[in-house]
Amino acid sequence: MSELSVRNLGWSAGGRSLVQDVSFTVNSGETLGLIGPNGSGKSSLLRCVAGITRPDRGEIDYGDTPLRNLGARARAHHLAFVEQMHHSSSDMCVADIVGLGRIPYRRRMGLFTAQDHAIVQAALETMDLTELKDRVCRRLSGGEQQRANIARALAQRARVLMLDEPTNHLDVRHQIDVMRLVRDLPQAVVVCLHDLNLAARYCDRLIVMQAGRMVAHGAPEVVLTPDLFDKVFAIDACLHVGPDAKREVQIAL
Amino acid sequence: MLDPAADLASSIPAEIARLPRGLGGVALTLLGVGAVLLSMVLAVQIGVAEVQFSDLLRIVATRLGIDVEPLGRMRESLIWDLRVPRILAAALVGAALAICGAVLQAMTGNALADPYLLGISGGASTGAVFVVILGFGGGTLLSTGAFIGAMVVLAILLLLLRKGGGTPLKLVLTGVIIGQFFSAVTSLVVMAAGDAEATRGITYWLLGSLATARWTPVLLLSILTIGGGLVVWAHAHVLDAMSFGSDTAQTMGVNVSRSRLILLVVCALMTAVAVAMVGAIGFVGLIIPHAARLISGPLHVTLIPFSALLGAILLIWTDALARTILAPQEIPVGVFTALIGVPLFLLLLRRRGDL
Repeated sequence: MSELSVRNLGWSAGGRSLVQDVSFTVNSGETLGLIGPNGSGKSSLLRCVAGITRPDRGEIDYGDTPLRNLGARARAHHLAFVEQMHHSSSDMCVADIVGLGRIPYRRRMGLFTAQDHAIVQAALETMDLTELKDRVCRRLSGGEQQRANIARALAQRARVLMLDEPTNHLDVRHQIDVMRLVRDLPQAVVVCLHDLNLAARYCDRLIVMQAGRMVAHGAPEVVLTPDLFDKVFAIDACLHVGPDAKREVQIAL
Repeated sequence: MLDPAADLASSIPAEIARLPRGLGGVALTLLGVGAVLLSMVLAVQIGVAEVQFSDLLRIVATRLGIDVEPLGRMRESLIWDLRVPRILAAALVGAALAICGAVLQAMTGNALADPYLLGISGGASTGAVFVVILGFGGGTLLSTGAFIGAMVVLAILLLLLRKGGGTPLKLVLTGVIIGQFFSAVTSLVVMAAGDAEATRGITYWLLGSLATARWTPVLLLSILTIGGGLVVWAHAHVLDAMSFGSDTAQTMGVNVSRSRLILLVVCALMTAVAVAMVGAIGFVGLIIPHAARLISGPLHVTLIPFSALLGAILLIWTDALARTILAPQEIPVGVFTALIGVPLFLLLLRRRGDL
């Protein structure tokens, strides 16, 4: 069974239909990329699926449980969400932030168990943050902060991880770092991306959004045709697959 | 919601204070509680009338039914009915305002939030003055009026700022302006009542003074402050999660809308009962959480108790100063908190790069 399945999702706000009739599934270990031009509805779609906004139509199931049957706590067991780079006003250190991922498992007294500690350590390790764990998060570089946010989401031990433009504001090296780490996660991952190259390179499957609709869905090699680049993104581009199966979008400037 | 340009990254150290885990943390907490108790005992002895520690012991012993030579009636009344409730009120009001400041700062993601600067205290004053002028008398009704006033201001703030808080300064500006409006309404109501004696009394109270603290309202104050403080403390993890913004907090297992409602109502209640008791005292809620963070670190499970302890200590001592510095004349304690608070507020703005 899929970790996440979405059927005929629709959401409109202010009389405008922002997401129309979208259906897809994601399995564990898979990285699904949402791409599309600005205002195409990819962020709205992600926020509906994460339960932040309530869709008007359609079904969202986590495993075999409908999203609407899940309370705040139970929902956080199923999904974790990382917003676009958020500048926190708090001086929390990296380990504290990752520890907040254990909120949905808090006991009545709110005490941190040995298991919680172990999970936090593991999340720090996965995101390569063990050495930075006592540093004030907002003093770190953008890439390190973003890794801390993802580690926090990992500590939630949710089966589906959602990331909204995780590479925004990062320099190229950190973009690649973050995407590599995300791709190798065992969870089902849904990620909104602006950068077509990162999407082509690191996602197993892509959903292309345009004006709230899903206009293409499938493996990058199948989806990213010159015709699609032209119609959806209004660019002259094609996908080049190298001898080592590395995918690369070549854009004619 | 937050302006990255206003980030004070450069002004904070890479590693920050955090309460040591285990024994060290417990010792520091006990030290804080001890400091509050010691401040209370010392402050009881400060004032126009001479009070000795032995007097205090004798009163407590008499109350406990231990056979000691009782103090004179007048003297006992002065200590037990005036001085003791006043010190308790100072501690409780200081704790309540500091907790509210910490909560508002976390919920708005704004280091400058404070019940006074956001106009909540002003709204509470207006509500309380209405109750007095309309002749409903004091006590619980006064607090109820203050609570309604505080809630009205909170509702207006939420309505105006529902599209995100804007910059920290915008929120403060909005709050200060709303506070000015309610201050004008208060003046209008007081003037319209036209009673010179009442006007004088109310004006004095508006500046924030603990001189009128008595046992009955202090009991109400203590119940609401301790109860409210515990409710806030139980939501410490929510306040931590809120620093990621409400959308992410929602996906972290927090029922954001319910928690926000509970916390705002509790804050309004605590501010209201404090204002009803001693008038609007500013800057305690702004300054204390920042000071407490230096000891406890940013996590609210320790920040809330330490804010309460430091707030209590600050107000006990500023009140002691207020009643001795120009003795026998008393100065409203709000005057002192502003004298201390405004320079610190400006310093904070400066460090943030806003000034």
